[in-house]
This record gives sequence, C-alpha cells and structure tokens, in this order.
Amino acid sequence: MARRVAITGCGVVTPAGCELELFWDSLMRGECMLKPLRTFAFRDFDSLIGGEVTLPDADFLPASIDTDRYRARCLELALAATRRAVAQAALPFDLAFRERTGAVIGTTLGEERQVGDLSDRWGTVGEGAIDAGFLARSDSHRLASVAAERYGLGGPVVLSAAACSSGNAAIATAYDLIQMGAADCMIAGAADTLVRSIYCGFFRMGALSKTVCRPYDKNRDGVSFGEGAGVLVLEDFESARKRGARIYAEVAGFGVSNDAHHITAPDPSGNGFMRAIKQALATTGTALEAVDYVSAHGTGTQYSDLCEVRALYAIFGERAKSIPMSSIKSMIGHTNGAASAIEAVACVMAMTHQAVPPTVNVTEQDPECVIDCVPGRGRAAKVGTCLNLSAGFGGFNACVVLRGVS
Amino acid sequence: MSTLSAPVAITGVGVLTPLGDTPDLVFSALCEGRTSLSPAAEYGGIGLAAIADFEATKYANVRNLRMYNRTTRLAICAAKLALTEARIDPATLPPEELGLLMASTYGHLDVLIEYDRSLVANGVQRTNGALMPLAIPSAPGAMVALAFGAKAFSMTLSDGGSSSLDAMGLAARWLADGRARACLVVSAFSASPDIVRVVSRAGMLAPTGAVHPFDVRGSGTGVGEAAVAFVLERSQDASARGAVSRGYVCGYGATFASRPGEHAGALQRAAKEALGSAGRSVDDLALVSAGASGVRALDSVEGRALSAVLGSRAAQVPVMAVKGALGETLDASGSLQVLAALVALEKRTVPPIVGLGEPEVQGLSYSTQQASAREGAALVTALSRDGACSAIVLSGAGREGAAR
Amino acid sequence: MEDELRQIIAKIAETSADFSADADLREDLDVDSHRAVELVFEIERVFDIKIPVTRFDELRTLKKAVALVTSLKGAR
Repeated sequence: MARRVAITGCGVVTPAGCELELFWDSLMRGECMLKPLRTFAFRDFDSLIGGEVTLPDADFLPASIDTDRYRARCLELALAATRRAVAQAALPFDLAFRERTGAVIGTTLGEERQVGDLSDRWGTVGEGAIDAGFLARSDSHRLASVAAERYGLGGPVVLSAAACSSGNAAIATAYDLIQMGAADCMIAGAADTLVRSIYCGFFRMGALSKTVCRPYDKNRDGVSFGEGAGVLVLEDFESARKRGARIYAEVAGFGVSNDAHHITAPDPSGNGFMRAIKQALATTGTALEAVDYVSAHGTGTQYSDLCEVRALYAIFGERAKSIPMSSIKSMIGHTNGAASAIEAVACVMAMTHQAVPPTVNVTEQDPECVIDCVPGRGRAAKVGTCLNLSAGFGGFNACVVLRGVS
Repeated sequence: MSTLSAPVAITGVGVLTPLGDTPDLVFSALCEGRTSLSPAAEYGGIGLAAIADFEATKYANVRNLRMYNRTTRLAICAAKLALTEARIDPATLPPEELGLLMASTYGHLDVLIEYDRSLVANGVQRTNGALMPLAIPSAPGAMVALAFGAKAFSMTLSDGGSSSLDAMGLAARWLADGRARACLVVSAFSASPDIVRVVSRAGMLAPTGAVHPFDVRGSGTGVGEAAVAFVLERSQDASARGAVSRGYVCGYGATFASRPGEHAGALQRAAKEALGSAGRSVDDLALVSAGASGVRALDSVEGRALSAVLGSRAAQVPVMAVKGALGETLDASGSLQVLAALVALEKRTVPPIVGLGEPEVQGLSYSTQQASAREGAALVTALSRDGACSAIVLSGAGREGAAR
Repeated sequence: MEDELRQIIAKIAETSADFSADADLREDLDVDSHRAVELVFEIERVFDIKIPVTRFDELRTLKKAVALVTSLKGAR
C-alpha cells in the first residue's frame, strides 16, 4: 500500500533571510536581494551582482570540520538549513527513530571552493596544495554525511547531483526511499554556494545578466546567481501523525523527464518540461483544475523562460494565462542546485499563508510569455496544490507536486 | 515492508577494465588470480591500474566525444556495450522510455580542476567556457544520457562506493513506477594525475602497491580504472520483448553509520534489509561479493558485518572480493562487484580473492582458490569511510524472483 | 588565416575541412551554442583577439569569420 509523505519541517538560508517568516515576508514584499557582492569577487569582473546569505554566528562551522585555511561554505549552508528544518520538525531522535531516518542532499557543485582554493595556491605551492583532507572535502556526499553524523542518522544517506534540478531530485529520491520502506523519515534538501567557475562559464555563454535577472520580461538577458540552501523533513504520514507532529503539507509525488537535446540548452519546444509535468499530474492523480500555483524554474534566460511557458500552455491550454506562476529567482537569484529545494519551501509557505509570491524586475512582460507571473508583489490566493518545476543542464526536468493538508 | 516491489531484470552489461572489456574476460582474469595493479614509480610506488590503449571510438562514436574527459568516454562506451547486448536502440525502444542513473562522485573533478586552474592562471577570456557544463558532478551522466537519447530521466548519485548499488535500488523503483521501460545504470572511475595524487594523499593507498583485501597485512588499496553499465528492466517487460536476462536485482538496502563503533552494525542492517526485501534468507545465498579493498579498518568492519549476517551459514557461503585484482574504483566498484557476482552465479564458480593470505576476521569462508558454487542468490556489499553502507541481492538468470 | 580558421571550425564541428565558405555554421555544420562557445575561445586564443559578445553573430559563416577576425586584428 502506498505511503503518504508528509512535510513536518522546513528550513532555508537565503539572500532573503534565514528564518522562514522573514524569508516569506521579504518575498511577498517583492524585495529584490540581488546586489553588488561583498564577500565574493573575481579579478576579471569589476562588479558582480548576486544574492548573498548572511549567516548568524551560531551557524559557522568549528575549525575541526575543515582546515584553518578555508571554510566549508556549502556544508555550512546545508547544515544551517538542516538545523532549522529539524528543529521545526521537533524530531524525536531516539535510536529506533534515528535508525529509520536518512538524508538526501542535492547540489550542483558542492564544495567547489575546495577546488578554488587549490587553484589559487597551485601557482605558488603546486602539488603541495593537495593535502590529506582534500578527497573528503571535495566529495559532495559530505553534505549529506556530515548532516547524518550530526543527527546520528542510520538510514540511507545519498547525494543527488542533477545540476539545477538537484533540489527536486533530492526531494524525489527521499520521497521514494520512504515509499520503498527504506526509511520512515528523510531529511531532503539542497545547497550551493556562489561559484566563480559558474559565473565565468555563464558569462562566456552569454547567459549571465548584465544587471539583474528579469524572468518573463521582454528584455531579460540572463541569470543572476545567489547562494543558499533549502531543506525539508519528509516523513511517512502515519508515523508523523502517531508522534503528534505538525504536518505542514504533503509531497504528493513527482514527475521527471530528460530533454537529451543539448549540453546546456533545453529542448525549445518545451516538450521535456511538459512530459515531467504530465507525469507528475498523472502519478499523483492531480487534476489540471486543482493546480493553484506553479513555482517556476524561471531563470531569466530568453530560451529557458519561453520553454517553460510553452510547456505550461501545452498542459493547461488557455488556463495557462491565469495560473499564478512566479520565479523567486528574480529576488534571491539562481541558487543552482539549492533553487528547487528553496522553492519547495516557498510552496509550503504559500500553502500555509494562502498567498503566492511574486516575480520582480518585470518592467515589460514578453508578449510571448503570456502568463500571470504575479508581477511586483505577492498576493493572497487559494493555494491547495503547487507544482515545483526545475530544469538542469543536459535537460533533467523535474516537477514535484506539493499539496496542502486540512 | 518491501524495498523492491518486484525483481528487476538485468538485460545488458557493458564493462571496460584493464583486465578486459567483456564480463567473461574480466571473470576469467579473476579466476586466474591476475591483478591489474602494478606499483607506479612516478607516484611513489602505489598500486595503479589503467586500461591500456583505450580508444573510445572503438566502442561508440557519438557527437562531442572529443570534448569529454576519459571518465565520461569510458562511461559512454560501457553504456553502448550494455545497450547493444540488451538490443535497445531508438528503433526498438522510444527514447522517452529509456532512463539513466549515473554513479559518479569524482567523474567531473579533473575537468573542474583544469577549468578553475585556467581561470586563475589565464583569466576568463583565455579559458574555454565550454568546459564549465562538463565540470559539475552531474555532467558525465548527462553526457551519457545525451549520447543515447535517454529521455525518461537522467540523474547522478554521488555516494562513493555505494553509488552504483544505490542507483540500482532507485532504478528498480523508478522502473516499477513506470517512469521508464528500461534504465541504464552507469558508473565510471578514472584517475587523472591530479586525482591519483588526491587519493594518495588521503592515505587510502598501500605504499608498496601490494593490496591485501581482508588481510592482517592490509595497508591500503590501489587505484583502479573501470566503467560498468547495466540495462535494467521490469521482468515482465524483458520477457515480453524476448530479452535475455543475465540475472535479477531482487533486494536493496542502504544505511549509515554515524558513529565509528556503529559501522559493522550499519552494514549488517543494510544486508539484512536487502535480503528481507528480496524475500531471501542467508540459506539462499550462493556467495557474497564483498567490497574489501585492502583498507584494513574498512575490511574488518565488512568482515564482522558479514559474519553477523551469515551467522551459522558463514562456513558454507563463499566470500569473493574483486578489488585485489581491479583496485579501488569508487563509484564503479559496486557495479564491478555486481558484475563479478552475476557471472559467478551464471558459471557456478567463485574466483579467488587476489592478495588474501591471512584473513583478519575469522570464521568466513573466504575464496582463496577458484571453486564451484551452488545455485542461489548473491549478496553484494559496499561501505565507505564516511559511513554509508549499501547492499544488493542478486539472483541468476532463470531464477526470476523465486522466493522461498 | 582563412585556412587556419577553416581548420579550427572543422575540428570543432567534427567535420571535414572542405566545406563551403558560405556554409552556415549552425544550420549546415551543426555548430550549436555550446560548440560556439568553444569556437569563440579557440579563435580568440589563436588570433590573440577579443570578440565582443555583440559580434558573435558575425561567426555565422567562414567568410564572415574571416572578415571579423581581420577587422579585429586590424583594430589593434
């Protein structure tokens, strides 16, 4: 018999804040948190715009986790969001519970700065820059295993790497591990830092915005980046009920597809996105009319935004004009692998508050993207079911279906 | 509660190793007690193995092959071999019905190191931006999916030694849920000079190049190179199209040891879960294909866990381990263990553990010379330094899911 | 210089070097956007120039590429 999967806790660390209500208020006010970067710079860029996270001291990692030379920023973000989600879920943590609890974390590049550190010192120190800890620190799985260690978890611990779909990939994998009976509770989320290799790569591809990202705007010119992490606690419904947990929402299921079209660009017809959404709706028994909000991938590139809109129309027909579909990347930037995890949390907030967050920086909407992108400020809305969309390099598309609970 | 709702058929296998590029060649080499590892003077004498004269175009000729690093090219070639054996191509299976799960933790790392190093040394303008999409952990898998039009899904698991077993477990689930009619599970590991140094500095390698799995002399492992691919399908889909199955994935379990003293217990739980979800007990086991690599601390954990799992059957169930012959191949290692187990079940033969002299954990029936095996199922176990443990139960062809 | 450009394009397009100077790189030679990034890098490196993003379109054919490189080298 299929198990239902409840969401009993959420946590985010984002450029719009690290506490759920503050994060939500900032989104709803339409505050764009993309600013000149203070803590991140690269010599070839005079000024970089992006979204940075200000972590409270309590979340800084002790020196024992890493070397004195370099802080493990991605791990820091992942653990900070995990701590908040676990606290909200008020997990029991007796041995029996812990043994049946695992973690799936997703990331685009993990602790890329370990490699950055290596490159910075290669010129002077060469091979000597590789120390005994490099292998472990550059292992992305560490994001999941350190969290698992910290909470004494005994269930499956997995790292899902799916580029910009990593967050949804982690949620889908965690959902299925609970469905398979491999665990009763899973910590599921994703984290990514600001990464110079990604900034540089996008710049060279002509996909980095010169100002700020403007999803669905006629003059949108590419992405803006942010750093952050989003984590949810997923639990078998019955177990959650039995222990008296507060259930915020439900992961009803998901759909996946792969464009397999091009190394970076999506299938322009939107067919990939469409298949993922279709599978999500079909496998969760979600009627078209039941969808109240779509958290878009919405990166702000000409082709990707259009693709997504095409997929929406292919599924919903004329209704695509009026289903609220917004991109919070317009406010916190594209946080790479973390994006769809943070956006899943935003969906939970939308269902909790019965409101939809906006897309900002839209001055003139693209006439080819005729959708209700909730421009400018968030607004109250009936939100019962959300679709959380993501697309990753190479074309892995994921659509996670989140449902409110009465 | 069952982790796998039904056994999943393995209808195609592709493999590239220094000991051969077919399952039979690799298995023969294992039976002969050969090793691919030899001391590499340029790295201070650690054991290293590499596929000689690897020419990707011999196996597959796909677009952009020249852009891809060695690991990705190996993965593509293994996938091609598996698809060919399974007789799967766009004419026989719509691309939307083919999915891919990739086991890769470090397959992108050499590209990332090269790319970032160039950014620092030469600046953005003089760095090849086309490398960036290839410098992320999901890249090798995405490129394999692109090469073969796997349009159902394409995701990478980066769980080190557990990756390929976890990928098999998840593939079985996604197939059962109808997300694809066939799924490629691909894993690859290839160490560039930087990666060899990285692994070497981590203190995992035997300084003299001699690798002794399960042995009291175990002082570390050696660096191998391999790519393995499987085509998995639901049994009924395989039968319906007349595909020949090499064997079945019947059970899966994955756990984590968050405290040092809990490691053997965690692996034991993973193995028990795998057996339970396969509807099997240790009485059904013909053999164990272990992950022992010569890293003594981990090998002794595995030995103790297997002892506990096998209990009174320990003397009857032979334990084989391939890493003395093939070295440590991280993400590909679980797949190599599965491959060796599949052929062992098929040929009813257990190859010897290369490099094992005096076992540390007593009571297990370590395979020290080629011997015949009974019919039955195989338990495959993997564990890594960070605490992740995974296990798979396989059955041979013709024993589709037959539980007691 | 035209021959050098021809060789670079042929290598990146994974095709033989005897294509027409008017052949469209994207439509006829399968130089997609990813290969185009590589192409820009190679041309900039070999000819020691910087191609402004606004002029990437001028790499549509070999003939136009020759004109572009000539003008950028002449401008230095």
